[in-house]
Amino acid sequence: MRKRYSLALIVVLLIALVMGAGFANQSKATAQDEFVFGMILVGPHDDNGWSEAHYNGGLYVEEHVEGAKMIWIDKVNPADSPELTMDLVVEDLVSQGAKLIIATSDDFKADFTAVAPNYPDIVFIHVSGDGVWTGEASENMGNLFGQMQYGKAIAGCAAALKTETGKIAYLGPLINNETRLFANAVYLGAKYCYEHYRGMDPATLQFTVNWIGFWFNIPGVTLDPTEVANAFFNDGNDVVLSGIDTTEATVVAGQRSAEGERVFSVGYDYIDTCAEAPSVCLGVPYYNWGPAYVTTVNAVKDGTWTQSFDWLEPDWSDINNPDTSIVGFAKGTALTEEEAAILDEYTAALGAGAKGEEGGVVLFQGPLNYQDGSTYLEDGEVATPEKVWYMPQLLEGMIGESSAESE
Amino acid sequence: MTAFRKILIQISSSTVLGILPLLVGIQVALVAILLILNNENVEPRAVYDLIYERTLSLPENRANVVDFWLPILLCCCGLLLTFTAGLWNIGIEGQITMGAVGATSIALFVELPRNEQIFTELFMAGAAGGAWALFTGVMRTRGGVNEIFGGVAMNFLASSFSSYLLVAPWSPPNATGSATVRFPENAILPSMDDYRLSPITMYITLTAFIFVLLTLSGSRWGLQLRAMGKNEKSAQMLGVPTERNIWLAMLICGIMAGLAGGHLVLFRRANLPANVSGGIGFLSLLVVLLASIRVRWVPFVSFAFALLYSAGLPLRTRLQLDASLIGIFLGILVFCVLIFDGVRQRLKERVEQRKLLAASGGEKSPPPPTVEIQIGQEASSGPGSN
Repeated sequence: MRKRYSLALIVVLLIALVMGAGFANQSKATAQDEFVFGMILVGPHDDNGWSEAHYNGGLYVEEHVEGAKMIWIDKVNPADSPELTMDLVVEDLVSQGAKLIIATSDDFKADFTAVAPNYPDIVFIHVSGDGVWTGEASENMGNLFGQMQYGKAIAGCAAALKTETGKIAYLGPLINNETRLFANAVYLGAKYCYEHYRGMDPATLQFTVNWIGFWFNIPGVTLDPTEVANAFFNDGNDVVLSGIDTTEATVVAGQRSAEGERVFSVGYDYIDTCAEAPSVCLGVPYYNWGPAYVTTVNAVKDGTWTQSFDWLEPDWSDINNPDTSIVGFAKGTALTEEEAAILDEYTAALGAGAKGEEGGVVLFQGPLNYQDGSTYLEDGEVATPEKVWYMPQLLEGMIGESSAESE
Repeated sequence: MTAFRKILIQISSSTVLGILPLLVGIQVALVAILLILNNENVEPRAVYDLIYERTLSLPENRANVVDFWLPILLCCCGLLLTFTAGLWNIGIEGQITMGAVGATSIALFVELPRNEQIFTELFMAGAAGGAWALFTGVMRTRGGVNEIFGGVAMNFLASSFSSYLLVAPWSPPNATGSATVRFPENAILPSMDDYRLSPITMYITLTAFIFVLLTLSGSRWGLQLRAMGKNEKSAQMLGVPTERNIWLAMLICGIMAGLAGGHLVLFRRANLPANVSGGIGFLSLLVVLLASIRVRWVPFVSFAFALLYSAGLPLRTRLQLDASLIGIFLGILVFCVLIFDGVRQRLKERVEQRKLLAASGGEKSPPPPTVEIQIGQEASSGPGSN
């Protein structure tokens, strides 16, 4: 009886699982003029942060390139999708006709680089990677990124204009070249504005970095960004800048402000981040991937794509132009008109510096030292792109870890 | 005896009563899943079509399902031993994690000729998983710590240890991340030429399955484990070395779980990621429970789970279903089947009581004798009866 029952259980389960299989359709061929591109997102596509900015960039492509169709998968990370591997994801996207695959996290670097050579006819774009520079990337793989260090410097400036305690903090993700660069850029922007616009001694500005361990909260694996943000405010910081993919810094600042505290935040990644708590939001340096993606999609579609390392500057004529600038800064309503005007002035100065114009502010210009006192840039030396990308430490004057504990 | 009672007893002896609650359970689960799909504006038929198309229709898709299946089946093999002995080895997630850590410790830091490299990695995977499980067993017999609580603690410890390794000593150079660097080619398990399948893992899993099948169906040790599963104290009084058997069952289960963890890092991932076990251990616990701890049915139930698990990716990319929904579907299915299996058991007991009443002419009769255990008979009840 029991054996018969068990046999029946198995059979019924299997039938239930594959029922309807007989009606399976063959995979639909893509339309003649359709161009399918795949997008792999590390977080939720509606995270109000990094992943949503990419997702919206994909939608922009669909809108601006005839026949373009995006297929996407989000939450490709060990917490949400431990069963997924890059091989499986790429195989699935290619089976749906993708001719271009965009991976949007530095966390994908090793696996994406390993998979790309298996599909020589597909173009792989790794956003925020450096495989083309290092020579690890196969010929069908390119890199794309925006020069967010400028947006971050503007963010740091906004924080410096607003702080009354002279203590600002940076909620960092994991530690690598990219994240160190951005933390350093925030610090330099804050230091410059604290000195030049506030007339304060930059040595009295306390700038603290704490890394949570990943781009967003993974319970049990990372530090909880909500707790870290609260700890920052408890320690007397009155502005917390976010370097992670999600919006905890802004949310926590909003909650504490509602309780009567004078605290502020600066978001990251996504243009509408301030909507989480407009009254405390000083602004957000954001990515606008659409135009760059359109260029890439058109090149692949036309067969003119060649491997390149594209680290694109903002459109300095208007960094918030949605059709031309990859990096922008959306000012928050918590800024006064005067502060907003100063930010515009600083932004213009950064643009002039980037273009090498007289009187401009060059963000990475010596003398600058690393956290351990060793020289990063000699007096007057301007950092090369490589020196900007690969910074092994935080800068002198910053509080926080430069690398993993073992180093 | 009324006519109705007679009919009821007759029906009860047929398979119909056995299957009916199960069918109802699956139907309830399907209705719940349909409601969710409807809420997501997804055609149920599209889901079924896609599951078939992307898991069973092509050889490479079937190979992917098998790659999902092997580590689950390997864990199930180990759990069959512990469940039969009446042990809830909840700590299997930690054993998988430690197996992965053990394999990684060789893959990252030791360089040997290919065969020796692979052997050493797998040896370390099994040893680490086995040691982790054995410690839980020793805590149970010597420290009086129930294996459920011990297992939960060991899971937490393994997860925290693995996270620490990724943040500090094993983090990529000058950075932190969610995974170690990719292992060198020499350290990765070889794959079949045409499909992404590891022949080594296939052999290990097959060996483990045959071992467990023979152990539980025809060996003296299997008989002892079943006796312990029925009543540990009684088994001990009858001369069964319960402590040794607990240690041995936990050790072997841990070795198998560790090897599953080794497969995950040495073949599927080629690095050690955060959350490496990814719930495979808990999934295996459900599989063994659903199969009523019957060795022969475990491969089928685990394959069905692997099939659904591997269908998650195409459901996400083609129908834009959320990543968590696949887990919810599996959970609903398991929950409903278990609930209605409980109903079935209750019905069966009631009918048997009525049978006894009828046979004794309406007088109250003593409860039925306990099940006699004979070699060749598989375990038929869940753990924890001791």
